[in-house]
Amino acid sequence: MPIKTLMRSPSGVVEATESLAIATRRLASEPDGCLLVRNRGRVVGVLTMADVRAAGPSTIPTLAAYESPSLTAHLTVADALRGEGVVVPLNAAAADVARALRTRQQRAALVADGADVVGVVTTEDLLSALTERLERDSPPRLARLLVAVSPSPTVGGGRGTRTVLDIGLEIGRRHGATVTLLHVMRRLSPRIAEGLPVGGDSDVQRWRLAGARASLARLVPTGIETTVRTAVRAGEVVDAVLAVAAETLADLIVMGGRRGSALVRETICRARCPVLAV
Amino acid sequence: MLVLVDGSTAWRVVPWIRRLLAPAGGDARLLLVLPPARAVTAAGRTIVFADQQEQSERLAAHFFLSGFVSRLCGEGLAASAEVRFGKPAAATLEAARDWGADAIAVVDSPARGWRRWFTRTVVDEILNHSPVPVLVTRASGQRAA
Repeated sequence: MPIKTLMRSPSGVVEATESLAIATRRLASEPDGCLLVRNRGRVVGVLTMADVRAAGPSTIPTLAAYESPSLTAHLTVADALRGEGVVVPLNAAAADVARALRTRQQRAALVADGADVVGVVTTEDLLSALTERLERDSPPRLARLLVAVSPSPTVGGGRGTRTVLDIGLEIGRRHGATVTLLHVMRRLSPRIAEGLPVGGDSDVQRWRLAGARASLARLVPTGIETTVRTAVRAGEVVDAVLAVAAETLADLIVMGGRRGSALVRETICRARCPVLAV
Repeated sequence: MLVLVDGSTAWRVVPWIRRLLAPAGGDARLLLVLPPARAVTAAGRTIVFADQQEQSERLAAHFFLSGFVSRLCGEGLAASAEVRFGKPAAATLEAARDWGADAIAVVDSPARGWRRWFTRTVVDEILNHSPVPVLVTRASGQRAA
């Protein structure tokens, strides 16, 4: 893969003698995420946010307390650079550039066409190219699915449990994913759901929990290739769905019910992964 | 799967579509909905007619989408692009119906705070009226595919 297909063309230039604090502010608004560094009229390197972070005060508060602000304020762009920049020709291969960056411990290389610098290639560019290549060889799959179902008949215009379950299991089967079927019981005591002792109506609640677990287990068709787990939680639906999604590291949440309902909307707004509203 | 994209959020949803469809196979159609074009007039004379304006915007939109389409095609998916003019939600639902989509994918950019309870977004309208499942990814605050 030639490097010219990966390179970016930064327009921002900063002098090596310039204050690092000022350069950092410019860097933050730079769309390419890097600035060319010039010294005595010659481009000598590339300044990235990683360089700034490495040169600046520690991000760990206990260590930063020992760093004098007056000293870090005097840092220049040259202080953030890691030696002489790596310069590669326009027709260089990506592998050669990666090797050069690794050997010289640099985060970006200057791409030159003759004597002119025409672009920059960063380790991020190389990583994204590598990711694409790896994903082409083995396409990324959804590994874990969370399917929120209700074993009781759906009311209020929602799609049936079977549809949500069918879609969830079909996606799980095609991706070879682990599917977690979740049922949330609003009026169930959280202590009962966790198997802890509670007050007078504990027998009734335990009976309801056992019934819900059995109903959920009955929903799972026999002889399917997908790994299916079931879970019953107590409390608010959205909180429980999001909690289980976080616990199981779900890649996708499949939800039934009325699509525009507050429950679905709230889940979409707070979920850390996409939501398929069935 | 019909994928509603716009200029700023396409990169957010396309990787998820790729991840969802790549192992299973399937068709993805990227849909970009633009506001209806208006004729440009100056000193009482029409310089550019609305259809000419739409045509140039359509070409630019197809050029923008072609990068994502070729990337999806390169991974073995049947991807195509479509540009429509009108209201995003209505145009999306119409396109889903015309194309016979099995699902619609959208990117949500919800309003923050109390506003989100009082404002209806394109995603709300699609969720309420779509006859097929809707995959919603968020523009921010969600992990990447």
